[in-house]
Amino acid sequence: MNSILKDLLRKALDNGIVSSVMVPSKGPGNSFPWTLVSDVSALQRAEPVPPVMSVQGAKALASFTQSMPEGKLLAVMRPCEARAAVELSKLEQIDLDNIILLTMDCPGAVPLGEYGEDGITEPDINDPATLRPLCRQCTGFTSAGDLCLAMHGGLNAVLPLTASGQELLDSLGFKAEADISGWEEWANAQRGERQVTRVENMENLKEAYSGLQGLIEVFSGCISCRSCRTVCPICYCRLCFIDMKDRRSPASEHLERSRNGGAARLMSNTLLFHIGRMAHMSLSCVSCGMCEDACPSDIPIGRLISMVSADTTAVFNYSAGSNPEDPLPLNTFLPEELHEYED
Amino acid sequence: MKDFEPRIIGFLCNWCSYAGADLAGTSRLKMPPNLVPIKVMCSSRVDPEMVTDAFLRGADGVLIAGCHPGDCHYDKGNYYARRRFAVLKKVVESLGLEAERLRLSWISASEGARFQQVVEEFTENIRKMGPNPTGKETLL
Repeated sequence: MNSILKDLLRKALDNGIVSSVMVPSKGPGNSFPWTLVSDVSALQRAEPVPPVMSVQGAKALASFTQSMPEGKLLAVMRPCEARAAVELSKLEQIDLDNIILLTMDCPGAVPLGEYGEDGITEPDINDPATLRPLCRQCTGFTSAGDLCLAMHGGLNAVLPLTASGQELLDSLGFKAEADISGWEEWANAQRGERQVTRVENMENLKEAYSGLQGLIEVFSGCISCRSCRTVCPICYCRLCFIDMKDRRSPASEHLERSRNGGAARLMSNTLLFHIGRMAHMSLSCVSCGMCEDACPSDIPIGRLISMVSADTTAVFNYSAGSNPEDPLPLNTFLPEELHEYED
Repeated sequence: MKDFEPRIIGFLCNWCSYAGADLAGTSRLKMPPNLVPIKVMCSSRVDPEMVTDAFLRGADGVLIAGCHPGDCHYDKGNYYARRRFAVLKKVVESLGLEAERLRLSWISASEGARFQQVVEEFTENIRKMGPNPTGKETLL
Protein backbone atom coordinates (compact mmCIF):
# COMPACT_ATOMS: atom_id res chain seq x y z
CA MET A 1 0.00 0.00 0.00
CA ASN A 2 2.78 2.39 0.96
CA SER A 3 4.78 1.70 -2.18
CA ILE A 4 1.78 2.15 -4.50
CA LEU A 5 0.93 5.46 -2.85
CA LYS A 6 4.55 6.59 -3.03
CA ASP A 7 4.66 5.75 -6.74
CA LEU A 8 1.59 7.84 -7.33
CA LEU A 9 3.02 10.76 -5.34
CA ARG A 10 6.30 10.51 -7.23
CA LYS A 11 4.53 10.59 -10.61
CA ALA A 12 2.37 13.53 -9.64
CA LEU A 13 5.39 15.52 -8.42
CA ASP A 14 7.67 14.46 -11.25
CA ASN A 15 5.24 15.46 -13.98
CA GLY A 16 4.57 18.78 -12.33
CA ILE A 17 0.87 17.98 -11.90
CA VAL A 18 1.15 19.00 -8.27
CA SER A 19 3.77 21.32 -6.84
CA SER A 20 3.90 19.74 -3.39
CA VAL A 21 2.78 16.73 -1.43
CA MET A 22 1.76 16.43 2.22
CA VAL A 23 2.61 13.01 3.61
CA PRO A 24 3.88 11.43 6.85
CA SER A 25 7.58 10.55 6.70
CA LYS A 26 9.72 8.25 8.76
CA GLY A 27 11.33 10.36 11.47
CA PRO A 28 13.83 9.61 14.21
CA GLY A 29 13.01 6.65 16.41
CA ASN A 30 9.54 5.39 15.72
CA SER A 31 8.02 8.73 14.79
CA PHE A 32 6.06 9.67 11.70
CA PRO A 33 5.89 13.47 11.43
CA TRP A 34 3.85 15.11 8.67
CA THR A 35 6.04 16.59 5.96
CA LEU A 36 5.50 18.94 3.06
CA VAL A 37 7.51 17.44 0.21
CA SER A 38 8.37 19.46 -2.88
CA ASP A 39 11.30 17.42 -4.20
CA VAL A 40 10.87 13.87 -5.47
CA SER A 41 14.04 12.66 -3.78
CA ALA A 42 12.59 13.54 -0.38
CA LEU A 43 9.81 11.00 -0.95
CA GLN A 44 12.33 8.31 0.05
CA ARG A 45 11.33 8.66 3.65
CA ALA A 46 7.60 8.99 2.97
CA GLU A 47 5.35 6.60 4.90
CA PRO A 48 1.87 7.41 3.52
CA VAL A 49 0.03 5.05 5.90
CA PRO A 50 2.03 4.83 9.13
CA PRO A 51 1.04 2.24 11.75
CA VAL A 52 0.00 4.94 14.25
CA MET A 53 -1.83 8.27 14.12
CA SER A 54 0.33 10.74 15.98
CA VAL A 55 -1.09 14.01 14.64
CA GLN A 56 -4.45 14.16 12.88
CA GLY A 57 -3.77 14.91 9.22
CA ALA A 58 -6.44 17.60 9.01
CA LYS A 59 -4.76 19.38 11.91
CA ALA A 60 -1.45 19.24 10.06
CA LEU A 61 -3.14 20.56 6.92
CA ALA A 62 -4.87 23.37 8.82
CA SER A 63 -1.55 24.43 10.29
CA PHE A 64 -0.58 26.10 7.01
CA THR A 65 -3.51 26.18 4.56
CA GLN A 66 -5.96 28.73 5.89
CA SER A 67 -5.31 30.41 2.56
CA MET A 68 -3.62 28.52 -0.25
CA PRO A 69 -1.43 30.23 -2.84
CA GLU A 70 -1.13 28.95 -6.44
CA GLY A 71 0.12 25.45 -7.17
CA LYS A 72 -1.68 22.22 -6.36
CA LEU A 73 -1.04 20.36 -3.13
CA LEU A 74 -1.67 16.64 -2.96
CA ALA A 75 -2.33 15.49 0.61
CA VAL A 76 -2.34 11.78 1.50
CA MET A 77 -4.35 10.95 4.57
CA ARG A 78 -6.67 8.43 6.13
CA PRO A 79 -10.40 8.74 5.35
CA CYS A 80 -11.20 10.15 8.83
CA GLU A 81 -8.49 12.76 8.35
CA ALA A 82 -9.90 13.74 4.95
CA ARG A 83 -13.37 14.08 6.48
CA ALA A 84 -11.96 16.30 9.22
CA ALA A 85 -10.27 18.39 6.51
CA VAL A 86 -13.65 18.89 4.84
CA GLU A 87 -15.17 19.95 8.18
CA LEU A 88 -12.27 22.34 8.78
CA SER A 89 -12.78 23.87 5.35
CA LYS A 90 -16.40 24.54 6.28
CA LEU A 91 -15.12 26.09 9.50
CA GLU A 92 -12.82 28.27 7.37
CA GLN A 93 -9.62 26.80 8.77
CA ILE A 94 -8.53 25.12 5.52
CA ASP A 95 -8.82 26.45 1.98
CA LEU A 96 -9.37 23.29 -0.07
CA ASP A 97 -9.36 25.08 -3.44
CA ASN A 98 -5.86 23.99 -4.50
CA ILE A 99 -5.74 20.84 -2.40
CA ILE A 100 -6.39 17.29 -3.59
CA LEU A 101 -7.11 14.74 -0.86
CA LEU A 102 -5.94 11.19 -1.54
CA THR A 103 -7.16 8.45 0.80
CA MET A 104 -7.01 4.66 0.90
CA ASP A 105 -8.75 1.58 2.26
CA CYS A 106 -7.58 2.39 5.78
CA PRO A 107 -6.06 -0.55 7.67
CA GLY A 108 -6.74 1.27 10.96
CA ALA A 109 -4.14 2.45 13.44
CA VAL A 110 -2.31 0.82 16.35
CA PRO A 111 -3.03 2.45 19.75
CA LEU A 112 -0.17 4.89 20.43
CA GLY A 113 0.49 3.38 23.84
CA GLU A 114 0.80 -0.15 22.47
CA TYR A 115 2.94 0.63 19.44
CA GLY A 116 6.56 -0.50 19.33
CA GLU A 117 8.90 -3.42 19.03
CA ASP A 118 7.69 -4.99 22.27
CA GLY A 119 4.06 -4.34 21.40
CA ILE A 120 2.11 -4.15 18.16
CA THR A 121 4.04 -3.08 15.08
CA GLU A 122 1.43 -3.13 12.33
CA PRO A 123 -2.34 -2.62 12.24
CA ASP A 124 -4.23 -5.55 10.77
CA ILE A 125 -7.65 -4.65 9.44
CA ASN A 126 -8.83 -8.20 10.13
CA ASP A 127 -7.54 -8.34 13.69
CA PRO A 128 -9.36 -5.87 15.96
CA ALA A 129 -6.86 -6.58 18.75
CA THR A 130 -4.24 -4.61 16.79
CA LEU A 131 -6.50 -1.56 16.32
CA ARG A 132 -7.55 1.45 18.37
CA PRO A 133 -11.09 1.10 19.80
CA LEU A 134 -12.46 3.77 17.43
CA CYS A 135 -10.86 2.01 14.43
CA ARG A 136 -12.55 -1.24 15.42
CA GLN A 137 -15.97 0.37 15.10
CA CYS A 138 -15.15 2.64 12.15
CA THR A 139 -17.60 2.46 9.25
CA GLY A 140 -15.92 5.23 7.23
CA PHE A 141 -12.68 3.36 6.51
CA THR A 142 -12.68 4.08 2.77
CA SER A 143 -13.91 6.38 0.00
CA ALA A 144 -13.21 9.85 1.39
CA GLY A 145 -11.53 12.86 -0.16
CA ASP A 146 -11.00 13.32 -3.90
CA LEU A 147 -9.57 9.90 -4.69
CA CYS A 148 -9.08 6.65 -2.88
CA LEU A 149 -6.68 3.75 -3.26
CA ALA A 150 -8.81 0.58 -3.20
CA MET A 151 -6.88 -2.57 -2.37
CA HIS A 152 -9.40 -5.17 -1.34
CA GLY A 153 -11.82 -7.54 -3.02
CA GLY A 154 -9.38 -8.29 -5.83
CA LEU A 155 -8.99 -4.61 -6.75
CA ASN A 156 -5.80 -2.60 -6.88
CA ALA A 157 -6.75 0.79 -8.24
CA VAL A 158 -7.14 4.45 -7.46
CA LEU A 159 -10.80 5.42 -7.64
CA PRO A 160 -11.80 9.02 -8.41
CA LEU A 161 -14.47 10.40 -6.06
CA THR A 162 -14.70 14.01 -7.26
CA ALA A 163 -14.04 16.02 -10.41
CA SER A 164 -10.63 17.16 -9.17
CA GLY A 165 -9.73 13.55 -8.32
CA GLN A 166 -10.71 12.50 -11.84
CA GLU A 167 -8.62 15.33 -13.26
CA LEU A 168 -5.53 14.14 -11.41
CA LEU A 169 -6.03 10.57 -12.63
CA ASP A 170 -6.47 11.80 -16.19
CA SER A 171 -3.27 13.82 -16.10
CA LEU A 172 -1.43 10.81 -14.69
CA GLY A 173 -2.78 8.73 -17.56
CA PHE A 174 -4.65 6.30 -15.29
CA LYS A 175 -7.61 4.58 -16.87
CA ALA A 176 -10.97 4.14 -15.23
CA GLU A 177 -11.42 0.80 -13.49
CA ALA A 178 -14.18 -1.19 -15.18
CA ASP A 179 -15.16 -3.65 -12.50
CA ILE A 180 -15.17 -2.61 -8.86
CA SER A 181 -17.93 -4.96 -7.74
CA GLY A 182 -15.57 -7.23 -5.76
CA TRP A 183 -14.22 -4.28 -3.82
CA GLU A 184 -17.71 -2.89 -3.20
CA GLU A 185 -18.76 -6.25 -1.85
CA TRP A 186 -15.78 -6.30 0.50
CA ALA A 187 -16.48 -2.72 1.67
CA ASN A 188 -20.14 -3.43 2.34
CA ALA A 189 -19.37 -6.58 4.31
CA GLN A 190 -16.68 -4.79 6.32
CA ARG A 191 -18.99 -1.84 6.96
CA GLY A 192 -21.72 -4.20 8.12
CA GLU A 193 -19.44 -5.90 10.63
CA ARG A 194 -18.11 -2.62 11.93
CA GLN A 195 -21.63 -1.24 12.27
CA VAL A 196 -22.56 -4.20 14.50
CA THR A 197 -19.53 -3.47 16.72
CA ARG A 198 -20.38 0.23 16.77
CA VAL A 199 -23.98 -0.30 17.84
CA GLU A 200 -22.89 -2.82 20.48
CA ASN A 201 -20.33 -0.37 21.86
CA MET A 202 -22.87 2.45 22.01
CA GLU A 203 -25.37 0.25 23.81
CA ASN A 204 -22.73 -0.86 26.31
CA LEU A 205 -21.63 2.72 26.96
CA LYS A 206 -25.21 3.87 27.49
CA GLU A 207 -25.83 1.02 29.89
CA ALA A 208 -22.64 1.58 31.87
CA TYR A 209 -22.45 5.36 32.05
CA SER A 210 -25.90 6.80 31.45
CA GLY A 211 -27.08 9.48 33.84
CA LEU A 212 -25.35 11.71 36.35
CA GLN A 213 -23.79 8.95 38.47
CA GLY A 214 -22.49 7.15 35.39
CA LEU A 215 -20.94 10.32 34.01
CA ILE A 216 -19.33 11.15 37.35
CA GLU A 217 -17.87 7.66 37.36
CA VAL A 218 -16.55 7.62 33.81
CA PHE A 219 -15.00 11.07 34.12
CA SER A 220 -13.67 10.56 37.64
CA GLY A 221 -10.27 9.70 36.19
CA CYS A 222 -10.08 12.88 34.10
CA ILE A 223 -6.95 14.82 35.07
CA SER A 224 -8.05 17.97 33.20
CA CYS A 225 -5.04 17.84 30.92
CA ARG A 226 -7.31 18.80 27.99
CA SER A 227 -5.29 16.51 25.71
CA CYS A 228 -8.54 15.34 24.09
CA ARG A 229 -9.19 18.90 22.99
CA THR A 230 -5.57 19.61 22.00
CA VAL A 231 -5.33 16.70 19.58
CA CYS A 232 -8.87 17.09 18.22
CA PRO A 233 -8.86 18.40 14.66
CA ILE A 234 -12.26 20.05 15.10
CA CYS A 235 -11.34 21.95 18.28
CA TYR A 236 -9.55 24.81 16.53
CA CYS A 237 -10.63 27.68 18.83
CA ARG A 238 -7.70 29.66 20.15
CA LEU A 239 -9.54 30.29 23.39
CA CYS A 240 -11.77 27.51 24.68
CA PHE A 241 -14.76 28.47 26.80
CA ILE A 242 -13.36 26.45 29.68
CA ASP A 243 -10.16 28.51 29.78
CA MET A 244 -11.83 31.91 29.93
CA LYS A 245 -10.60 33.89 32.89
CA ASP A 246 -13.99 35.04 34.11
CA ARG A 247 -15.03 31.43 34.49
CA ARG A 248 -13.17 31.34 37.81
CA SER A 249 -15.74 31.79 40.55
CA PRO A 250 -14.90 33.98 43.54
CA ALA A 251 -13.90 32.33 46.83
CA SER A 252 -17.22 33.37 48.35
CA GLU A 253 -19.09 31.12 45.96
CA HIS A 254 -16.87 28.14 46.72
CA LEU A 255 -17.31 28.76 50.44
CA GLU A 256 -21.08 28.94 50.03
CA ARG A 257 -21.14 25.65 48.13
CA SER A 258 -18.91 24.12 50.75
CA ARG A 259 -21.17 25.28 53.60
CA ASN A 260 -24.26 24.00 51.81
CA GLY A 261 -22.94 20.49 51.29
CA GLY A 262 -20.29 20.21 54.01
CA ALA A 263 -17.59 20.12 51.36
CA ALA A 264 -17.22 21.09 47.72
CA ARG A 265 -14.93 19.84 45.04
CA LEU A 266 -12.49 22.44 43.76
CA MET A 267 -11.74 22.87 40.06
CA SER A 268 -15.08 21.24 39.52
CA ASN A 269 -15.53 21.82 35.83
CA THR A 270 -14.74 18.37 34.46
CA LEU A 271 -18.30 17.56 33.41
CA LEU A 272 -18.87 21.09 32.17
CA PHE A 273 -15.79 20.79 29.98
CA HIS A 274 -16.79 17.48 28.44
CA ILE A 275 -20.52 18.20 28.01
CA GLY A 276 -19.84 21.73 26.76
CA ARG A 277 -17.28 20.41 24.31
CA MET A 278 -19.72 17.80 23.02
CA ALA A 279 -22.32 20.52 22.48
CA HIS A 280 -19.75 22.55 20.57
CA MET A 281 -18.06 19.98 18.35
CA SER A 282 -20.07 16.74 18.22
CA LEU A 283 -21.81 17.76 14.96
CA SER A 284 -18.44 17.89 13.20
CA CYS A 285 -16.86 14.89 14.97
CA VAL A 286 -15.41 12.43 12.43
CA SER A 287 -14.78 9.71 15.05
CA CYS A 288 -11.06 9.65 14.31
CA GLY A 289 -10.26 8.58 17.87
CA MET A 290 -7.38 11.00 18.43
CA CYS A 291 -8.89 12.09 21.76
CA GLU A 292 -9.10 8.57 23.09
CA ASP A 293 -5.58 7.73 21.92
CA ALA A 294 -4.29 10.79 23.75
CA CYS A 295 -6.19 10.31 27.01
CA PRO A 296 -3.71 9.34 29.75
CA SER A 297 -6.54 8.07 31.96
CA ASP A 298 -8.04 5.57 29.50
CA ILE A 299 -11.42 7.28 29.46
CA PRO A 300 -13.44 5.98 26.47
CA ILE A 301 -13.85 9.61 25.46
CA GLY A 302 -13.75 9.00 21.70
CA ARG A 303 -16.45 6.36 21.87
CA LEU A 304 -18.56 8.61 24.12
CA ILE A 305 -18.30 11.61 21.78
CA SER A 306 -18.96 9.35 18.81
CA MET A 307 -22.09 8.07 20.55
CA VAL A 308 -23.33 11.61 21.28
CA SER A 309 -22.38 12.68 17.76
CA ALA A 310 -24.56 9.92 16.28
CA ASP A 311 -27.52 11.42 18.16
CA THR A 312 -26.84 15.10 17.43
CA THR A 313 -26.07 14.65 13.72
CA ALA A 314 -29.25 12.57 13.31
CA VAL A 315 -31.33 15.67 14.18
CA PHE A 316 -30.10 17.37 11.01
CA ASN A 317 -29.46 14.24 8.96
CA TYR A 318 -25.86 15.43 8.76
CA SER A 319 -22.74 13.38 8.23
CA ALA A 320 -19.52 15.12 9.22
CA GLY A 321 -17.05 15.54 6.37
CA SER A 322 -19.01 13.50 3.85
CA ASN A 323 -20.29 16.17 1.52
CA PRO A 324 -18.48 19.52 1.18
CA GLU A 325 -21.71 21.02 -0.17
CA ASP A 326 -23.77 20.29 2.98
CA PRO A 327 -23.67 23.42 5.15
CA LEU A 328 -22.70 23.11 8.81
CA PRO A 329 -25.99 22.50 10.66
CA LEU A 330 -25.40 25.47 12.99
CA ASN A 331 -24.72 27.85 10.09
CA THR A 332 -28.10 27.40 8.52
CA PHE A 333 -31.76 26.86 9.44
CA LEU A 334 -35.23 26.28 8.07
CA PRO A 335 -38.04 28.57 9.21
CA GLU A 336 -40.28 25.56 9.82
CA GLU A 337 -38.44 22.85 11.74
CA LEU A 338 -37.65 21.42 15.17
CA HIS A 339 -41.06 22.28 16.56
CA GLU A 340 -40.74 19.48 19.10
CA TYR A 341 -37.95 21.48 20.80
CA GLU A 342 -39.86 24.75 21.22
CA ASP A 343 -43.14 26.04 22.52
CA MET B 1 -37.31 19.71 55.66
CA LYS B 2 -38.74 22.70 53.86
CA ASP B 3 -40.88 22.10 50.81
CA PHE B 4 -38.91 22.01 47.60
CA GLU B 5 -38.84 25.37 45.85
CA PRO B 6 -37.40 25.03 42.32
CA ARG B 7 -34.72 27.46 41.29
CA ILE B 8 -35.02 28.21 37.61
CA ILE B 9 -32.60 30.23 35.51
CA GLY B 10 -34.24 32.16 32.68
CA PHE B 11 -32.22 33.57 29.79
CA LEU B 12 -34.58 36.21 28.39
CA CYS B 13 -33.96 38.11 25.19
CA ASN B 14 -33.82 41.87 25.58
CA TRP B 15 -36.33 42.71 22.86
CA CYS B 16 -39.22 40.32 23.40
CA SER B 17 -39.20 38.01 26.38
CA TYR B 18 -37.61 40.39 28.88
CA ALA B 19 -40.12 43.03 27.82
CA GLY B 20 -42.84 40.37 28.13
CA ALA B 21 -41.66 39.64 31.68
CA ASP B 22 -41.73 43.37 32.38
CA LEU B 23 -45.28 43.61 31.08
CA ALA B 24 -46.33 40.68 33.26
CA GLY B 25 -44.92 42.65 36.20
CA THR B 26 -46.47 46.00 35.40
CA SER B 27 -49.76 44.23 34.72
CA ARG B 28 -49.47 42.82 38.26
CA LEU B 29 -49.94 39.25 37.07
CA LYS B 30 -49.37 36.79 39.87
CA MET B 31 -46.71 34.16 39.27
CA PRO B 32 -44.29 31.98 41.23
CA PRO B 33 -41.05 33.73 42.24
CA ASN B 34 -38.85 30.80 41.21
CA LEU B 35 -37.40 32.20 38.00
CA VAL B 36 -34.15 34.14 38.16
CA PRO B 37 -34.01 36.22 34.97
CA ILE B 38 -30.80 36.90 33.08
CA LYS B 39 -31.13 39.41 30.29
CA VAL B 40 -29.33 38.56 27.03
CA MET B 41 -29.39 40.62 23.85
CA CYS B 42 -30.71 37.70 21.80
CA SER B 43 -31.67 34.09 22.44
CA SER B 44 -28.83 33.17 20.07
CA ARG B 45 -26.39 34.76 22.53
CA VAL B 46 -26.97 31.81 24.85
CA ASP B 47 -24.08 29.43 24.36
CA PRO B 48 -24.92 25.81 25.24
CA GLU B 49 -22.14 25.91 27.81
CA MET B 50 -23.99 28.65 29.72
CA VAL B 51 -27.01 26.39 30.01
CA THR B 52 -24.83 23.39 30.89
CA ASP B 53 -23.06 25.44 33.55
CA ALA B 54 -26.35 26.45 35.19
CA PHE B 55 -27.60 22.87 34.97
CA LEU B 56 -24.47 21.38 36.55
CA ARG B 57 -24.40 23.99 39.30
CA GLY B 58 -27.76 22.79 40.47
CA ALA B 59 -30.32 24.94 38.62
CA ASP B 60 -33.51 22.87 38.74
CA GLY B 61 -34.60 24.20 35.38
CA VAL B 62 -33.20 26.41 32.64
CA LEU B 63 -35.46 28.43 30.36
CA ILE B 64 -34.37 30.16 27.19
CA ALA B 65 -36.97 32.63 25.93
CA GLY B 66 -36.84 34.79 22.83
CA CYS B 67 -38.88 36.46 20.11
CA HIS B 68 -41.28 34.30 18.09
CA PRO B 69 -39.78 32.85 14.89
CA GLY B 70 -39.98 35.53 12.23
CA ASP B 71 -39.95 38.34 14.82
CA CYS B 72 -36.29 38.31 15.89
CA HIS B 73 -34.90 41.81 16.43
CA TYR B 74 -31.81 40.63 14.57
CA ASP B 75 -33.88 38.93 11.88
CA LYS B 76 -32.89 35.29 12.40
CA GLY B 77 -31.08 34.87 15.72
CA ASN B 78 -33.86 32.80 17.22
CA TYR B 79 -33.73 30.30 14.34
CA TYR B 80 -30.05 29.69 15.13
CA ALA B 81 -30.89 29.53 18.84
CA ARG B 82 -33.43 26.80 18.13
CA ARG B 83 -30.84 24.67 16.31
CA ARG B 84 -28.30 25.09 19.10
CA PHE B 85 -30.90 24.27 21.69
CA ALA B 86 -31.83 21.08 19.80
CA VAL B 87 -28.15 20.05 19.78
CA LEU B 88 -27.75 20.66 23.49
CA LYS B 89 -30.94 18.79 24.28
CA LYS B 90 -29.74 15.82 22.24
CA VAL B 91 -26.35 15.83 24.01
CA VAL B 92 -28.07 15.87 27.39
CA GLU B 93 -30.50 13.13 26.36
CA SER B 94 -27.74 11.02 24.84
CA LEU B 95 -25.84 11.13 28.12
CA GLY B 96 -28.93 10.12 30.07
CA LEU B 97 -29.39 13.42 31.91
CA GLU B 98 -32.77 15.04 32.50
CA ALA B 99 -33.47 16.97 29.30
CA GLU B 100 -36.93 17.94 30.62
CA ARG B 101 -35.21 20.50 32.84
CA LEU B 102 -34.38 22.55 29.73
CA ARG B 103 -37.01 24.56 27.89
CA LEU B 104 -37.16 26.91 24.92
CA SER B 105 -40.18 29.23 24.71
CA TRP B 106 -41.09 32.08 22.41
CA ILE B 107 -42.63 35.03 24.28
CA SER B 108 -43.22 38.40 22.62
CA ALA B 109 -43.09 41.82 24.28
CA SER B 110 -46.89 42.01 24.28
CA GLU B 111 -47.40 38.57 25.83
CA GLY B 112 -47.25 39.32 29.54
CA ALA B 113 -49.91 36.72 30.18
CA ARG B 114 -47.99 34.11 28.19
CA PHE B 115 -44.86 34.84 30.22
CA GLN B 116 -46.83 34.27 33.40
CA GLN B 117 -48.26 31.04 32.02
CA VAL B 118 -44.84 29.69 30.90
CA VAL B 119 -43.27 30.45 34.29
CA GLU B 120 -46.19 28.86 36.16
CA GLU B 121 -46.24 25.76 34.01
CA PHE B 122 -42.46 25.25 33.95
CA THR B 123 -42.20 25.78 37.72
CA GLU B 124 -44.93 23.22 38.34
CA ASN B 125 -43.31 20.68 35.98
CA ILE B 126 -39.96 21.10 37.72
CA ARG B 127 -41.60 20.92 41.14
CA LYS B 128 -42.98 17.51 40.18
CA MET B 129 -39.54 16.37 39.01
CA GLY B 130 -37.95 17.35 42.31
CA PRO B 131 -34.56 18.95 42.88
CA ASN B 132 -31.82 18.62 40.27
CA PRO B 133 -29.47 15.93 41.64
CA THR B 134 -26.47 17.96 40.42
CA GLY B 135 -27.17 20.40 43.25
CA LYS B 136 -26.40 17.81 45.90
CA GLU B 137 -23.20 16.45 44.36
CA THR B 138 -20.38 17.81 46.46
CA LEU B 139 -17.81 16.10 44.25
CA LEU B 140 -19.15 17.44 40.97
